[in-house]
Amino acid sequence: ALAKRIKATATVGKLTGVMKLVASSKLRAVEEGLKLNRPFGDALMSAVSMPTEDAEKTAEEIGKKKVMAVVVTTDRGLCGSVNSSICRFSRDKFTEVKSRGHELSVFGLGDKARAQLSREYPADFVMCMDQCMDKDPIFPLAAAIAEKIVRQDFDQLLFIYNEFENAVKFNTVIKYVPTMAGFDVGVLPPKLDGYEIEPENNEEALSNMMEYSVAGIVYAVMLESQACEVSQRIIAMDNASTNANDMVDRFTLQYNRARQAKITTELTEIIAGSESLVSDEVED
Amino acid sequence: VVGRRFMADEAAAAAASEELRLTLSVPERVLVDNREVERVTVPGRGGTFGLEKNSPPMVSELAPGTVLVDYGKGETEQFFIPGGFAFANPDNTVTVSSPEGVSLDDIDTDRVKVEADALNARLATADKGSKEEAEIKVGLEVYKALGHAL
Repeated sequence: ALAKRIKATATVGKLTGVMKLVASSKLRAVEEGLKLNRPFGDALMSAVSMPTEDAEKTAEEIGKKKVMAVVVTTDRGLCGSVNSSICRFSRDKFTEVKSRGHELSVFGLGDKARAQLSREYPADFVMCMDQCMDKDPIFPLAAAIAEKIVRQDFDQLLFIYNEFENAVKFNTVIKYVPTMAGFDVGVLPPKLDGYEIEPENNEEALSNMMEYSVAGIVYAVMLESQACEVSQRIIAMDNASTNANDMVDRFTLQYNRARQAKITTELTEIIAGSESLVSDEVED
Repeated sequence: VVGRRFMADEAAAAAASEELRLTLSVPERVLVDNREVERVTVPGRGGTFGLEKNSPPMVSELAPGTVLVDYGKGETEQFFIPGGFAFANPDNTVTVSSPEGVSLDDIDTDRVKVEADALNARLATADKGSKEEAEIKVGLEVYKALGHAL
């Protein structure tokens, strides 16, 4: 029985080892992609995102607002604490949003959002998209997701996602993006206060810009999330492999000790048996 | 907060005395990375226009067309973009953001006509008012602008 367990554990160790290798080879490309996207993502984020202090005022202060939270998780597991961190953070935020008197709706990205949150907030979930986060992010995909997002009914949009700091650290963060619906006609997001709009007096241009920015932000967020997923998977699988190898060593030691004890017992019985035969002969 | 705002104003004042800095970026890479330029001309939806240092802040929707970057001293670069947005910011920076962008040198001139003809053929058979028709028209607008640019 122990022998079977050793074999099974060794197999698991091999699997996690392979997963770690796959993730490691991916990390470099993923990190590079993230770095290349940062000018694009930062530009849009800084143009349209709203300072958290302003966004988190009460319903009385900024008028009754419908808030939609886009929660960014992964499709696959075995990536450490990325998803549980998002869900913990989200739960706190949801409670906060509701306590401020706003209406909450939740848009999930990634299967883990469904698995971990939709059961707790069944009435608030408007959509959950899976099979988007297990592929390499491309802008057309982000744009398609953004299209689904902007079609929902909300005044204020927020993104909860994991920001990649380095190969071992990630931070769960929140970014607020006001939408045109939240402002009076012709009024710009606070960051763009005082800007002229071209073509002149064209509100369509502004709402186009907001939608484009949502697509850009979704893309940036997907890249960050993927980088966190891959790097944390390396760590998780590395730990799992180490554990598996330790267990194999421990069990093998146990197995050998048991085997040797059995041999010793058999030998002892044989010797004791033969000794009693010899002493019988001598007595005769 | 007060301290930070003071620094931002100072930085803006300092920036205003320097050259214009341009960043032209697409989702997968940056084409012009925060470089000093004398002038940048962009294809606004309402018409082509140029931006120089200390231009008033504005945001413009862009049509398919060429972004002409003038680094000064005769050095220029041209990029084709299918659209996007340009932001002229009060800190003397310009950001042009587009879903895609290529240097004009990298465009295969012969392919442009081939693709445009194929789209025209599809337009003839597409249902009027359908999403497909709209997509074809958008594509044709891009190819028309590409033709002008080359």
